[in-house]
Amino acid sequence: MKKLFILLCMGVTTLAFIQGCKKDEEVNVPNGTTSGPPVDTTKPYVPTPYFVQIPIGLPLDYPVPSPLDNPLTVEGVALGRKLFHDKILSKNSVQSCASCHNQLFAFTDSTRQFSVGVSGQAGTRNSMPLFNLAYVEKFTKTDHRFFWDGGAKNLESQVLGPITNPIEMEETISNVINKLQNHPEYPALFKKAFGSDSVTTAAMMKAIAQFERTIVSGETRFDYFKLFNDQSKLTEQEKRGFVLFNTETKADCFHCHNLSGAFMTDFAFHHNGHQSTDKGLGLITNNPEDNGKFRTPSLRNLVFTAPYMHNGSLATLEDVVEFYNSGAIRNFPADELITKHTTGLGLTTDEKADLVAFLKTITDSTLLTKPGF
Amino acid sequence: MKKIVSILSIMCLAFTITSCIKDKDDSTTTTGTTGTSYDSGITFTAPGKLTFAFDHSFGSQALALAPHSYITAANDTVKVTQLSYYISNVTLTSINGNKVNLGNYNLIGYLAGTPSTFELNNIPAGRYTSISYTVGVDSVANSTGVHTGDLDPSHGMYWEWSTGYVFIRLKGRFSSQNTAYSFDIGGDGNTMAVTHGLTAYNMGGTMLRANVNVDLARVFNSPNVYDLKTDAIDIHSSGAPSIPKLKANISNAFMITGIQ
Repeated sequence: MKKLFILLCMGVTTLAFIQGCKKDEEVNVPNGTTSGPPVDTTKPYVPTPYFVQIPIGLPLDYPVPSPLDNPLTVEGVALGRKLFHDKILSKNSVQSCASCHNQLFAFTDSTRQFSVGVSGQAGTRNSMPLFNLAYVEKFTKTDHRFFWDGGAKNLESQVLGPITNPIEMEETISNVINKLQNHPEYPALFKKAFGSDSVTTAAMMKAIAQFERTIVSGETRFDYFKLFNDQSKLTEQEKRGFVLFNTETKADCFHCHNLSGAFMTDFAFHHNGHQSTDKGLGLITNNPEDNGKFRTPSLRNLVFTAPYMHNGSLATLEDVVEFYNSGAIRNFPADELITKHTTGLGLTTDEKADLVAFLKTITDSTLLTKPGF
Repeated sequence: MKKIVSILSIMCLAFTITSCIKDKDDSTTTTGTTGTSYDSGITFTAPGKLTFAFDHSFGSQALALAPHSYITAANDTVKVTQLSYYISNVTLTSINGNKVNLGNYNLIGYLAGTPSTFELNNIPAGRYTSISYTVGVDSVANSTGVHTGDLDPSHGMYWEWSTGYVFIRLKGRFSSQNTAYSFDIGGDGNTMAVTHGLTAYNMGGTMLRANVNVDLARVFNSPNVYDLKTDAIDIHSSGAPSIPKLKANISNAFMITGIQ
């Protein structure tokens, strides 16, 4: 009996110890929500790693790429998401990033050709869709990674462009930092995410970049068709469009919008034969050879991202196909991939319709509704 | 008598030697001292601190902001409203050629009447014959903007539309019409290297101060005459055609004026 009692005591004590330990651990791990009780400053800074669920069409053999000095964390992503949707980042707090990068339109600005800034000024380029950006960062071979003209070298520094641009959010960085520092919630959220309740430009840039890296898209009929040769996923018309897309003497799209990869872009800059006077990449490099070159956009989710091209000058996919078929200029400074088709592509009406039908198969509707975005 | 002189001489010599040794071994903080005890260059007798002080002038006159005006070699009447720049990658070269890179990035802004300073700590003991630094920010730090301190983009010396820092900003007005000129020089490849020889100084200690003067007359006049009537007056990108001219002048405008 005595022995049993001692054993019982030992058991209870051990259990208590284990439970005590467990409880401590649970308390130490921040819960990652964007609101809640004030952070207990006596607890150590322990962010929780964040894992992005990768859709079928993207590389499944490695996590979403992120820089060593800014790994994805639950707290960082939550903070970035809150900042992305918060008008506090703009002058007079009237616009957020999401105002012109609306999830319902694959993070573009509805069907607007040009977004309008806080002072009512329109821009000169079409709001870019935001998804798979971590891969753009990883695979772009030069320092020119973001914006239509490649002006931003990474996602972190990209953050500052729209905030400070006088025709966009028109705010100064120091004002943003002051507003966030004096906000009832943000200092605690910065502490959870980065270990200090002192709000810094660097931490703000990191948080928004983290959130942007989590926006992935790759769940489409075309992905199933391509990856598993599932013929039922595409109609006969769409399959004909796919063949045209990949035929050099027909639509010849595949050189820049490489379908064998997951991203349907070559992560490079080209002059596509447009007649805009915007210098594009040339503004950044000051190299006249780069004048008129713009980033090759992904062809995913085109159904949601109209209008098209850097200047949103083409309203529909039919317009885009007709542009490459007959509208593009066929001499310098257009890219050799455009000029080699000296008299245009010569697509028939049916072929153009087939091509458009195919482009619409690369559509991932889950992007518009995923709650985490 | 001869003997006494000899003894005195020996005593003097001994005293000199001991005082020398004492100076060189002194690990407590001392301000810079000069004298025969130091060889040419600057000598840190123990790990120490170098204060870098930047003063600004137009020719021989201390720089004053607008409405004060100056005449350039191209006969432009210029006024200055802002002068700011980054100094980074400060490197000391020792007598045996070793380079000590003291890292750090410092944003210097012109302040009327007082030099702008920063401190370099933990300089290893040794004798140094030259000091060099970069006006600007190296390509590694220039690639993200995710930095705090002087490199925090909120200081406004940053291009948000084309990732990178503004290495030097010089703004003002010229001519009787008060036409604005505005130079923002940045972009990898546009850093400006400056080296100052130190062999003219015989200084030592553990707390030294290097005084540098930035002469804006040189920015406009030498080695290239910069003519605001014909050269660019609005430079805000890395490849503007007038940049090489200005860069050469800016490198030439930094002059060491003394070691204390």
